[in-house]
Amino acid sequence: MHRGATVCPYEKGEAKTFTCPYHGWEYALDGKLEAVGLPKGYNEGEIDKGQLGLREAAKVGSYRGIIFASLNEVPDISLEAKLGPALPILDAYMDLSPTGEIEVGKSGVYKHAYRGNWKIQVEGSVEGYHPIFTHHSAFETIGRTMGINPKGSFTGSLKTGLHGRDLGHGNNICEIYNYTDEQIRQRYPQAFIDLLKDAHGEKRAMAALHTRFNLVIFPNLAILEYQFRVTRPVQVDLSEVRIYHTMLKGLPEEFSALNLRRVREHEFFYGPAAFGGPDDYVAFERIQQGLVADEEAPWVLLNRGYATEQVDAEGCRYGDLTQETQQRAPYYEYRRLMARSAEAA
Amino acid sequence: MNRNDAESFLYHEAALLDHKRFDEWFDLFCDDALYWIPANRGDYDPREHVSFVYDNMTLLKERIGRLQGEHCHAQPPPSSTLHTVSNVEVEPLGSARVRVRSNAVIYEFRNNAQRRFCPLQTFPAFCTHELREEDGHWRIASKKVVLLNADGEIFDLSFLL
Repeated sequence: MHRGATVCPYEKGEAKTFTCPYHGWEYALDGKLEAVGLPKGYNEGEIDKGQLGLREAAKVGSYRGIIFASLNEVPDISLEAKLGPALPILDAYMDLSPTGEIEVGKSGVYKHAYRGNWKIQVEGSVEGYHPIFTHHSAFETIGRTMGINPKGSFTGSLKTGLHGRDLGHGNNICEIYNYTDEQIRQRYPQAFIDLLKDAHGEKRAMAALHTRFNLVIFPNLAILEYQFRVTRPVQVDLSEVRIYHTMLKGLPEEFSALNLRRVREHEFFYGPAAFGGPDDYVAFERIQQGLVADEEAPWVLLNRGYATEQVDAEGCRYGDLTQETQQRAPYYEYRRLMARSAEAA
Repeated sequence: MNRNDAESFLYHEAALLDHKRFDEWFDLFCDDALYWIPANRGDYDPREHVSFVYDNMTLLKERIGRLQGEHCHAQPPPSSTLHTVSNVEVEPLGSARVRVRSNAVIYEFRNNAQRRFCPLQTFPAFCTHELREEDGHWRIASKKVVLLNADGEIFDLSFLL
């Protein structure tokens, strides 16, 4: 790199090389510096093209086609160790597709913005306490038009068997539904269920069909029923949320109604004009407004259910999904990383 | 329907929205109509690509009910809008059907007592109305609003365009 200018202003497309508009430095698709503008002006030894390619991410790894990259620091754990108990959850997400693959973003991207800190959205992605309050109007419409009652998971009865779980390393999950066999048969044609069993085996197929969850991979990726959600801090009180819609890849034509349902149900609830999302973002902005107004109140409360938290066989803390185990999870990792960088300093 | 008639129709529609006469606005639509705001620019198939809004009349009625009800937290204080309409062109589609293309600029403002410097939002849009004559009245068979900034970051569209 020369001055550090970005070299690609497009979200998608095709290119043979990337060329900087400032001095004509040209980079190959793998980032290697191929040529510089007016090369005669450089004397021998002034630049080493082999050292001046585009910067590589410090560490890159992938799981089930999801590519994770760390730009400026080599993480102190492997990707598999970081994902840990989240690995079978990612499997369940992918295994809902008969090919074991999903397509991310090809079917649309919402680019939301809100005037609040980025962590509010990360917490909000697994928030099991707010739905019956914030989403009352959306649930009313779902009840009237789809004939189902989505409130059941969020009543706070502590008896749903649905949990918020700390998956370690800041990752966490809110279990939204655990579908019964009968509900699965209502949601999917038997031929599709059979197709999944043939593709992945009975156990993996049923794991994919039974579960519905909101998963957060620390720090800023959330994976929900029909979306990958990436929250990006812009300023301390301004955040961008990219919601990439996901489709089942390679779905046989006779089951195309399943992907169509993913489109219609997603856009009903999410996005800036939908029946759910805008109510969340107003809550996020109000949190930000309230917190900056009172510097004497340094804490937000995330202690719901703390005293009754339990630990599962894998060592993960858990509580009822309306309690706040899952939102507490990132802060353990946040504290660990911040303490480590403080020590390094 | 000539351009003059189309302009009168669109001005009337805009006035109903800007004066919050949403039930009367809803009555402009045919029973089998579509109210569509695509997400992202590009000629995407709405069956394979998510939209911001893809409402049949059942869902549009729910949307209006939500705005008029007490539990739409995105909307207190409610949005005020101002639609300006221009560049109107009429294309006949056979008997008693026309396609009307127009440009619209929609301004939106909420007077939030707890936030200073409430931003005025501006949404330029390409609009396409398909109108159908039913019982001597022109009605909206479909309304498509393509936002100029559909690919950009958007804070909120929890109001009617």
